[in-house]
Amino acid sequence: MNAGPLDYSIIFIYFAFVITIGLWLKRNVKSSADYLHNRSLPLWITSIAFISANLGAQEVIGMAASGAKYGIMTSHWYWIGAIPAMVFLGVFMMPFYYGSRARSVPEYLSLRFDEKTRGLNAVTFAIMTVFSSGISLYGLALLLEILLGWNFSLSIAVAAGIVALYTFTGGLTSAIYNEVLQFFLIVFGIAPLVFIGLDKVGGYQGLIANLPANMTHSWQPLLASDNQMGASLWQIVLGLGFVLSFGYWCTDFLVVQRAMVARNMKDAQRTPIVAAFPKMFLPFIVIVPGLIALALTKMGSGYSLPLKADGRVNFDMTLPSMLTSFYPTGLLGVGLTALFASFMSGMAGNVTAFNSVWTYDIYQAHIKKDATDAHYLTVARMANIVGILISVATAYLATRFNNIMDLLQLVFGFINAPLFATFLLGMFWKRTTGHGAFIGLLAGTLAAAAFHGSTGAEGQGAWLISSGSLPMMTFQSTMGQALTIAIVAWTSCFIVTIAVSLATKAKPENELRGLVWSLTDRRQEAASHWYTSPMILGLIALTITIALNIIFA
Amino acid sequence: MIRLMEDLRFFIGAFFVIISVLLIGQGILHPQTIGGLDLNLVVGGVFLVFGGGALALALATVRKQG
Repeated sequence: MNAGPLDYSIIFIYFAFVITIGLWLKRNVKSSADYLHNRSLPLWITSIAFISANLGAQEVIGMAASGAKYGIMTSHWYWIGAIPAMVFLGVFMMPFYYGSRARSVPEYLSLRFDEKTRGLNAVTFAIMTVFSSGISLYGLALLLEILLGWNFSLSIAVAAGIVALYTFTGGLTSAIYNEVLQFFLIVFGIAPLVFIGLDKVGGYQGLIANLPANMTHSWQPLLASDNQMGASLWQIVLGLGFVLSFGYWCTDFLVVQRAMVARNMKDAQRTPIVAAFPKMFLPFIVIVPGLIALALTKMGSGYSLPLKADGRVNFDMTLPSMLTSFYPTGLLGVGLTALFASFMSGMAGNVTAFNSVWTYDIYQAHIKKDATDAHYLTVARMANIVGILISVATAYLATRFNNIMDLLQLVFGFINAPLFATFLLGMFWKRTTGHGAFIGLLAGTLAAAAFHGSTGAEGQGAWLISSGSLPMMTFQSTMGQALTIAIVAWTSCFIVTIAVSLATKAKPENELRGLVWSLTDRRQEAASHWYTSPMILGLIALTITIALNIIFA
Repeated sequence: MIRLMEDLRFFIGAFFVIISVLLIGQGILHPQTIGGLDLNLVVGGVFLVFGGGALALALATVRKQG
């Protein structure tokens, strides 16, 4: 099915709406606070934006691809790799982020530790966000070139131009408002695919009957030594469920920022927890289409998984190929707009997070300290444009160096994995020092790089080993290797931070009030209803998640 | 109208109502059934209810605020 005039009309109406929202919100932007950290948004908006900021193209397209490749095991990225960390963020960490009045995650590090730890986190985060945004842009342009035959440069210009327009005019609030629209569009745009697919495979029972047994369970394959993911039980539980999951959901400013703009502490705490409820059911929309695609291919139904030029399966094109194969005109426009929305949501989220960190944590903290608010507002707007331009440059760089995306993902992993150890110690052990946090972070990143350089998987890694020598360890898959690297990085950071902290002088306790668990008054106003308590909501979310894990084990 | 546009639900509602009209129009003019259902009509109907509901909530809030 090729996109027709009606499909294009839906896409252009969507563009018109996102730009209108940005232009409309421009009238409310009068200060840098309005532009970068407007603490006035209601819970329903911050919660949906919290999920939507993570519901970028990598998630929507990547999870369908993983569903076709790994089966229901992909749900680990939700039911152990997201929900517990989101609940932990809401119940235990949000009081420090929000209560400290920090405007960003790096700023919290400055209050808790020192400027050098803040600077390290701010610079690495800023670099990661603009490169991630560029990768998102590259993916969108590539998809449009393949699906609609659009020119690569035109696609980049249109997508980057629209995101630039609505983030430049309305700032963070505009990005968040559009993320809410994008969330509903993604859910409603992709959910019909599940209905169509299940109809074609003969319902859920037909789906299960047409898939190998190892693709229909989440936990059972992990007990086998050679499961399709190439990861072991402990790698999934510790590497994904603890280090990577908590490292991302609890410390990445891109998502934490959505909770930090809630209008009060209680809403800030409830934001990730309320978001956990729709998040736990997203696998039924983003993973099941991949399973359906695999079942249809095995059934010889006329649909088969798309192939690359070399004849291997192109898993990344699973979702787009299903949309174009099964959606009628009209609904196809909605589905394509949903893909657009996912790319733009990811890009806008990265750019607005970059703006805040650049303006507050790099420019104001290290370049010009005592300027007027109007000056910082101008800097933030300029940072928006610069962030978009670097993203565009990264997208073009990705076309010339195909492996740059893999390299960036690898380096991001080295940096992100140890961060949770720093935050965990910083928030829950008052003895942790700035020197300990800084050296611990560096040690964690170096340990990750050294481990990757001395181990191999699928012919990759082991770049520290001289040719002819064997790697220190060989993993069944790069995923198993990446999960182990995360554990090594976290453990190294944890141990080195403790060791250096014990050898250096801690901050006086009066400077740590409101920043550390043991020195913070945790008495909270009584919840008006039991179901508004973050702790109770969190327990309900965890109970449902455990049930889902058992049902699909 | 300006106060109505301050509410995000107005934009969400208006967007989904407009798209629902296009989908329902397509479903009526060019019916195409999958599994016995015309998906343009079904999804258009869902969008109409969702978008209409969002618009109604935004309107109710503005009226309540006087």
